[in-house]
Amino acid sequence: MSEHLLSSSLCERLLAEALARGGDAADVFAERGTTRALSYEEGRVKSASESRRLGVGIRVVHGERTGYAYCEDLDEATLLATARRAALIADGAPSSASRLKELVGLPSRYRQELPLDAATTAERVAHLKRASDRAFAADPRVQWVSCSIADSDSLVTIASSDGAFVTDRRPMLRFNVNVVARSGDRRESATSGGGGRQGFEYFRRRSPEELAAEAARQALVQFDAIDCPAGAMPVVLAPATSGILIHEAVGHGLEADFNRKGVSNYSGQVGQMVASPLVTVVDDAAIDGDRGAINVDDEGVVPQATTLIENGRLMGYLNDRLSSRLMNVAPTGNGRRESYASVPIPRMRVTYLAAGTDEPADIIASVKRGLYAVNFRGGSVDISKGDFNFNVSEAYLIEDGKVTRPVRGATLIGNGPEVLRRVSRVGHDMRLSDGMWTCGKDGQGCPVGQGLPTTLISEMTVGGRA
Amino acid sequence: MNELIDLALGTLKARGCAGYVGASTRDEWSADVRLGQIETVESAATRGLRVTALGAGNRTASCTTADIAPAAVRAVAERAAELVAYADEDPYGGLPPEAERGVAAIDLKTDDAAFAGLDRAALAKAAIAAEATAMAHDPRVSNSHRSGASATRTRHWYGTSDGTRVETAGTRFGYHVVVVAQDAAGERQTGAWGTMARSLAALKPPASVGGEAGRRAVQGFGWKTVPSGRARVLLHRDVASQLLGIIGGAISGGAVYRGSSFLAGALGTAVASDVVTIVDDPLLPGELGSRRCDGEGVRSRRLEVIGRGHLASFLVDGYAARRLKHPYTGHDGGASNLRLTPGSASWDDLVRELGTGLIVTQFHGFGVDLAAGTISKGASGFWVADGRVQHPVQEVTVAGDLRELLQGIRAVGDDPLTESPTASPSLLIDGFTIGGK
Repeated sequence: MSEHLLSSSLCERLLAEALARGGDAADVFAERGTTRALSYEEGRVKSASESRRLGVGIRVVHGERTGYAYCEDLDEATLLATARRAALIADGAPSSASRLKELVGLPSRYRQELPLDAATTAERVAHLKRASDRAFAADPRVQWVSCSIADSDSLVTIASSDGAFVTDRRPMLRFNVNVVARSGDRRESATSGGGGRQGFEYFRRRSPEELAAEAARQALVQFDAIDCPAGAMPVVLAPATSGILIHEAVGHGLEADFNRKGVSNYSGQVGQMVASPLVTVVDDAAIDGDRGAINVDDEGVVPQATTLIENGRLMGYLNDRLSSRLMNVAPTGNGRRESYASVPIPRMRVTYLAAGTDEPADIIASVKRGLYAVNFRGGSVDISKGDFNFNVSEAYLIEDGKVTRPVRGATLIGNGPEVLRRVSRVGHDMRLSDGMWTCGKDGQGCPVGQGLPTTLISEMTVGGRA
Repeated sequence: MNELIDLALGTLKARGCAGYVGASTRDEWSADVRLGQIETVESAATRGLRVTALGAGNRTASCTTADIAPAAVRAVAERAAELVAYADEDPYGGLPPEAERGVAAIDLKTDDAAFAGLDRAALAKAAIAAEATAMAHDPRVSNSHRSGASATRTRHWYGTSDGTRVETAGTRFGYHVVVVAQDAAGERQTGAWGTMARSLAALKPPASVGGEAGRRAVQGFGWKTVPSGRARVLLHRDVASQLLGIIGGAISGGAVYRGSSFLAGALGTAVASDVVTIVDDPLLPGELGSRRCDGEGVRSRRLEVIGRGHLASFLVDGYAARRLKHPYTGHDGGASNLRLTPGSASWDDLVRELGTGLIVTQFHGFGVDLAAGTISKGASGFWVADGRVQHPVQEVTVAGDLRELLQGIRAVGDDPLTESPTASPSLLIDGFTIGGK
């Protein structure tokens, strides 16, 4: 049993007030958190900051309509007034909420061996200094290094009119190194980072030096790069960060809100083949310590792994409570929100392409001329048409089955379902990306994870200048 | 709120620190509408306060809180004063000199009294009416998602330990439509348009917003890709404004002193063709980016950033100004209303002058590397041959070197600027490489 931000009896009073004008469901989401951050530039701590959040969001769902209000107080009068504002969406006789019952046996997916609260500021500064020193030591062309560490501790209490009552304490660690290198009048910059819902034991797995050396390597390699060729060609995606392809090309299109409204290019296709039989896509909340892991979603549903596509066949969507009720399927625990200030919507957690059986080296060797894409800055997708794009920060030419010269300024574009049908080889080397991704949707940022094994797409449109 | 600012500054002083405090409150309301119905209504009244402590040698630390009870404000001020011990001395830290601080003596009409008595239902109805217009535009426009309306009023208070006190307020009203069109073959296209303004009366009417969204939803049907290669490109003002935003990022003081901008060493040199003049003007009445002073209380002024192709100024906050030995410009918080000065070419002139090439109406994705000075994005638009539009184009990429592209700007349109704070007319540009078939 944990310490709750609001008592179950207060939550019951709020839910009753929220449903006083009717409605199918209501929930209360309370959050208290602190984020600590340090930034380090030019060999010194440039700034130290701490921010404290506290707020409660109350939602009333009435058919397909949602009323939402939030406040930044925990006193009962303000909370009741907030519930009444959310209730304005409905206009009938009161409906009733179930008696709250605390969810027991919640998973424990963010164990911290070296807890964030036990780490001292001096320790944080030492990590930043180690990273900065290492990046400068990498090469005299490294001109500027910015490092930052941010960690947060958030306590959320969720009460739902279906009776779920739960409190989850969520840690998050994020370490970042940005390097600017200069050679003549050319400048290159690269960022490396990671973290997750874990403690300082993260740095045992990836030291500040390793992250710094990686950022420097990515910046410096660009000085040897030639302009990326433009046009259609085979593309081999390297493991880990290329998972952004799955996130953009498939993940968003399978979020249930788009499908319930019939605006996704995957609407109404459950049970059909939507990808090459080599493609199995999973969205998993249960990857301990990952940036996208959650013990419970932001609507009080305990999530597991959800298989979205199995051997090419579409198995289902990512549901929040609203979509699952309207589409009459079980919630998958994908109802997530940026904070108490936002309504929950279907969001991904850790989304990855499952491992295949091919030898990674054989996949590269099978390509006569193509692109080997290693690191990415980000991407986006047009949900209706399924067109996605992603910006490649590190890529190489493949010539006669060998990875050769680095190329600069590459963008990959394509249509989600089309590209998934062109997945022609999948390696056995599935790896998750380090925790550095934040997904944006409806103006809400949400931490997510992603991964992918070495994968060959037989043809994709590559943007470049040559 | 001023009492809380005094309380925080007093707490800092008692701990031997100078500093500054920014506080704000925000009243917001928004509604999502879909297929003629209100789907979601959100409302909130929030506030926040940020205390920045300056210790010996301008060691800097800050703390923010959403809880503004006096005890909580005192606690974050004490915490900020405590945290300065962990920051290092910084010769460029501190407050802007008093001579730079002040509020421009002009009514910018950013705060519309209509907010107080706002008829929220009427604003949601405007979004619904615009959605209906979009759906009626063409039978293929058959679905809608994420249309909506919003209204916000934000108030800011700012105070420094050496006596500056500033108070500002601003409103924002808007509504937008996103519709989906589907043709007989099942091909889907999205069309979006909206309007946003400081005053309620300045919003565009639903018929014009909805009509534009509907037109955009169907304009891409029948698209084809085009062969890869170098081509002249005409950037429609929507995407030209995005290019202008990229330039705004490249001349921001932070990117310049870190050396992470391709324009870092370019002050005083010709960075664009001589048809390009860019002005940042925070003093335009009623515009979204207007402000009487910046986030550090530095007085706002009109600033020519690029004059006939020459880079005349960076956009600096106090830290970057001191660090770069650059005059103060009042850009804590970034560009205000960044505008590329319109030229004299009509849209038809530009299409004729394009001859054979690509009109880009949309960019897709991130695809900008400011340090290297490269852009590489997904694009859609129209193919033009012999000065005539041939067919819509989608699923292509455009890429280029930003230095070359800025020098390659051949002509500037006479289009009216959009409501967006960062606004450019359409631009005819040499130097893009297209990636298609």
